[in-house]
Amino acid sequence: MNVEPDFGDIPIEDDPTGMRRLLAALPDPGPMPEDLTARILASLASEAAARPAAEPVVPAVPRSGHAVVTPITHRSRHRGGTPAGLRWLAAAAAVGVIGAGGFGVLRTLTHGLGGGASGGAALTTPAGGPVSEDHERASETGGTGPQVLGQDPPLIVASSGTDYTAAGLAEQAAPLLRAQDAVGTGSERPQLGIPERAQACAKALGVPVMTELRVDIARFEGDPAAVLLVKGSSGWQAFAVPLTCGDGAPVTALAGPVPVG
Amino acid sequence: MTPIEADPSANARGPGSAYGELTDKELMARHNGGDGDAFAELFRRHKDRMWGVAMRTCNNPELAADAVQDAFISAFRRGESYRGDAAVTTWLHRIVVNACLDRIRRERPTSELPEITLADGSDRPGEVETRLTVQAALARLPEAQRAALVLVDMYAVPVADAATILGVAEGTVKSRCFRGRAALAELLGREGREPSVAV
Repeated sequence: MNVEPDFGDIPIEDDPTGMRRLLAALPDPGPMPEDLTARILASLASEAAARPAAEPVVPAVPRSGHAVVTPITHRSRHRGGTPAGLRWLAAAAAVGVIGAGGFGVLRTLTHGLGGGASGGAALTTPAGGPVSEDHERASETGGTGPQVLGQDPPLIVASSGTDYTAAGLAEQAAPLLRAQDAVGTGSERPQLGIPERAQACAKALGVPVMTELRVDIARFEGDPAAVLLVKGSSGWQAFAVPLTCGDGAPVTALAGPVPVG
Repeated sequence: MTPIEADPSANARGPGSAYGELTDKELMARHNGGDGDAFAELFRRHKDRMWGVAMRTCNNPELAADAVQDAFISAFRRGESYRGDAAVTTWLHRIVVNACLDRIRRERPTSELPEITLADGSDRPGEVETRLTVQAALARLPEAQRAALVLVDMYAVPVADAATILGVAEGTVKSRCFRGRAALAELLGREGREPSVAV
């Protein structure tokens, strides 16, 4: 019978053999090989595809400067019950996106689920230059325009010039429900007019799920601010927010939420 | 920061890391909430560390590759089992180590050597004709000792975290380390002895 001696009081550093130091000095095996990384990403993409559909979760931080008003039809056409982020995973697996970068080589992945080296889907990408996130977006949208991932809720951006107040926020924000997109595109658009930034702002305000967004770049009680209208499960709600909302830092609404409409 | 969280790649950011500002726990929460991107970020952060642990535990690139793939898929599927009371990396380490041990047992069910008897003086250091490399010697240790040494001595994982990862008591982790070091020293032809234990 093998009885374990009690080593409880001996510091783990106590090593008369010198093996601890020897082991610590061994060279690290290095980063995970690229082919294994791609293989695991492909497997994870398959896992994501097999996952039950869930409510979409907005991206945590802005991904790009695309200024897009995504129509509702676009969203429903592309989602089709696909879990949020599946395309990102699949694209990452297909192109072999590695860590903080990527490599644009023809790569065929033939490893599937279950840790084996056989079976599974074959994912092939065209040869080309370095693969960027924008490349993935362009591929998804057929390169027809600056449309972002289909999971984005539609966004309308206005610039009314209204000086909102806490007391009048609900009433003042109501016309925004009828607003048309009125702010420029591309670099002209304020940060909060970028869909991802507006979504991040809503998320920071504690709205995890939204179906539509509207932003009015305006003023609040005399200072530059924005009003964010979010349509969730309980209808439209308005928040007055600083223009920095959605930049990743914690945010407190200047006013709201108040129901609108 | 404990050493187990000190993976130099853990907080790396770069193109595509839209989740780079979230903590591991926040990413797990998002993953469990249905966010299909969150786990990819966790994978990106910790893949190199987990690969290293797998390589050193399995001592075989093919086994390590299969084990680490098993582990990440298992972690993806079993996200709900992460309760948030330990670091995500501790949870991942546990899954990876278990996957390695499982792979080793499946691939080489009878090859492991028995516990090395240190009291046997017939194998004196000077009489060992073949000097094993450290890694090869490590591979000859019982898997439980090897796993403990990989975590505690190679990756400086605190004993308490290693105990959580291995699912044993802290004293058992220490015992495995001390015995493993002594056995390793003997295999390498050095003086192998455990620290003195007061009786």
